[in-house]
Amino acid sequence: MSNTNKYKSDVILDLSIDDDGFGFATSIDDALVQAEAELVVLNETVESIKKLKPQCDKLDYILAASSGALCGIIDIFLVGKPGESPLGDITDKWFANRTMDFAKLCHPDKKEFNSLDSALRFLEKEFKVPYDQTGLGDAGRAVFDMNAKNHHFKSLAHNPSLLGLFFSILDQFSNTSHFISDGQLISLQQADDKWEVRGGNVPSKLFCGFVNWFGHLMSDVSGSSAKAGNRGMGIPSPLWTWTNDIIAIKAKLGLSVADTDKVINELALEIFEKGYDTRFQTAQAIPVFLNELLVRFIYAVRRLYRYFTETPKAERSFKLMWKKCEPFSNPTVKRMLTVAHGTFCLIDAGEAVGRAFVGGGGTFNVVEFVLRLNVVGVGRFAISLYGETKRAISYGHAKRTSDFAAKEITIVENYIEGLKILSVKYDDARLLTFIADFKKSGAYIEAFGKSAQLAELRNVPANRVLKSKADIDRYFGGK
Amino acid sequence: MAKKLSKLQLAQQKAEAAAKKTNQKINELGIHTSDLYAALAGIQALFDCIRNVPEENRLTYEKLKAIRVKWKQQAENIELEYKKAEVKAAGQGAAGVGAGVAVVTLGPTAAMGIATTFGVASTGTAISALSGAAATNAALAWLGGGALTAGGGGMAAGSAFLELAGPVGWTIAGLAIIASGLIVVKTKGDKERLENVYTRISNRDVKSYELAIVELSERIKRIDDETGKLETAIKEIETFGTDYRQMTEEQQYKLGAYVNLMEASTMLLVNPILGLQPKFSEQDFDKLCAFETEEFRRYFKTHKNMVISMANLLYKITLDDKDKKLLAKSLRKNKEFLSSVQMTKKEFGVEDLAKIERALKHKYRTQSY
Repeated sequence: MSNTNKYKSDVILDLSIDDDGFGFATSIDDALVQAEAELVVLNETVESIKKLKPQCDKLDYILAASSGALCGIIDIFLVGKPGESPLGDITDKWFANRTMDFAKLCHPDKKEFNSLDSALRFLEKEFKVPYDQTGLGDAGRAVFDMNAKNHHFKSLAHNPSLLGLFFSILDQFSNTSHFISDGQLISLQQADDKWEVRGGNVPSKLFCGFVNWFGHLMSDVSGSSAKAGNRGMGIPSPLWTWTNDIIAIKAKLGLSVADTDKVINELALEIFEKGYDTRFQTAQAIPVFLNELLVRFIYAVRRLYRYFTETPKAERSFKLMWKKCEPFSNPTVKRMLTVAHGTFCLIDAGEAVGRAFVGGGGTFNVVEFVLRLNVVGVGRFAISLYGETKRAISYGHAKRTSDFAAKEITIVENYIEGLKILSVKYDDARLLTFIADFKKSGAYIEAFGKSAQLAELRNVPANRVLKSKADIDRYFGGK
Repeated sequence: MAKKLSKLQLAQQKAEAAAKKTNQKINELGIHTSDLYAALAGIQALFDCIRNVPEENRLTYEKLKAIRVKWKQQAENIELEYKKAEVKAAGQGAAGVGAGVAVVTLGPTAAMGIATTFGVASTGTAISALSGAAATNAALAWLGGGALTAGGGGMAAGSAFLELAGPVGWTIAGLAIIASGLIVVKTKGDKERLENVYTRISNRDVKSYELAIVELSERIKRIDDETGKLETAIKEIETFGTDYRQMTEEQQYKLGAYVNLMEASTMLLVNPILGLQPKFSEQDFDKLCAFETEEFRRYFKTHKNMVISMANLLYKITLDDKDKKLLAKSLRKNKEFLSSVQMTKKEFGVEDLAKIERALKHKYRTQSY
């Protein structure tokens, strides 16, 4: 007896062990549902690798490269360099129109401006700033080489960048003017005797400062009024003003400005003086943008064609079509874009190099090269390359996970096989009702039949199953 | 402490939890089987009263009870062997070796659970995979989480490996073996690859345990239900009297049905639990040899031990060429493994794994689980 108690306590002890945080199914149906769900997840993991790998065919590559080449040619002939750019003329005009629209918007009577000149005059008066010295007089011109042609670049507050905004606000609050000249940050105190920033308190002054900065940039984007009529100096491209930012930041932090910083800054200034401003930068963006659109369009059209030829009518839906054709979030279209922008850059850079040598009379003319190199295209290509690298790395990780999942599938499938065997072996609910059946009148033969079936299901050897009345008689009668 | 567990460690942890849960279910099964056993004996006694058995046939009839008796004997045997092993282990003070799983104290109920789990063949003899004391030990090996046997519970370390790779439980007791295998590998990528193989083996074992847990639960449900049915039947049969010929036809049919129920319920005691069966048994090996050409048959027969244990280890584990190479390399440097399969470092190689793959392919073709 004492022994029995001991065993009982052992059993209780064992029963107190929990699942250690893992849940285990105890019925066949639950286990089957769980296993099927597991299999779905594994299959999805295996499938997901496909989403990371570009599925481009030869034609995709050819079309992408063709698009890049076409846009490269457009860039060569229609963008070229400032001053001799048909697309540049269009962007100049577009900016002029926007400036006039902006002037009308700002005018208290919403006056229609017929000429850019009058619009500029109005805007310059409306958005007056303390840092708009074009020359600092003859002395300034001589010392700092500041003139109407370059002051939009040199003056930090005229830069359409975050640092530009910062210096604009600073200058407006402290009535100063900051500019970069010859690798130095120069600060002019009491820039404008009559200057006072508008607004009653700091937040409203900040707001006025911001509006002034933006409005003044708008008045300058199409060329300052003094030069109106013959293109004039716009505002520098944000893709080049960073050369100022580096010098300004280094100067503020007390770091010495390197020669390379100075050289690049001078190069940026030189190309600005040759007309490389925001308007021209916009013209450069056109073929790049066109390339982008073309490739995505080609991708979508080819997939659309494939969708309609391969998907049976009954299965078609907008959702499925979108999934198959959308040209945004898949590695295939991204690979096509890499090829297209790469081709574009190759052609563009090739032409720029050629022209640089021609322009330099045999030696490499850096200014000519930079004027013709499409920086927007190069930037876009760099983004593509970055994406490709990132995808290649994540593909490596995903491949390992996917390989593992593919091998796990065998195990889970085998488990499901096992569960299916059990579900047949334990499918006895219908047979176990035979005892209840005896209570029904006249159903006892049928009930007995069920009991025999149950014995067979449980693998009782055939010679031990009683299948008929004769078997029962033999068993009990000894006959 | 907050170090993230690796995939392999997680799989090991889950395997341990699954083994624990399985043990718990086996104990539970044991409790319920003792009631069923009593009910079966009760109804059998009633049938014996009713049956008009001539003296000369009595022996044949006694045999009919044999399975159940054999099951009972098996349970008693397990308990006895376990006690012996336990004493030895305590004497050697090495029970803690292995994966550090506590040794379970084994009572008669758990022993009955184990006897059921590993099954008794319908011929009345213990199933071949588990015949005799060695088989009992294999059952005990994983019941104690492998710790007892691997730690010197009366078995040589080499054969312990084989037994563990036998039914299930490789995962838990094989922890030390796995670790020694991983040291051999130098590069991070190779280590990860080998770890992935072991993780899949662990996961496969987890699935076997899960299948066992499901079946054990279903079995317990039925044992409970049918014990009740048999007890009701006993009460009813007692009202029929003992003269079969005096009974109505309905009563006679009922008796027949209850005989069938008795036989069917007996199978709940003796049918083995699918998930805990060896993945590749001796019978599978014999079938393989009968099927193979002379050349392969000779190879298989020479390396029978290795083939059976490795086939169990690699059942349903997909290996690509690189996996095989690494696994062979790590096993070749594992002295414990080599001594257990009685092969030398030079003899064992990647081509042996290819042969195992061949053996398993034959098994997959002939059996779905």
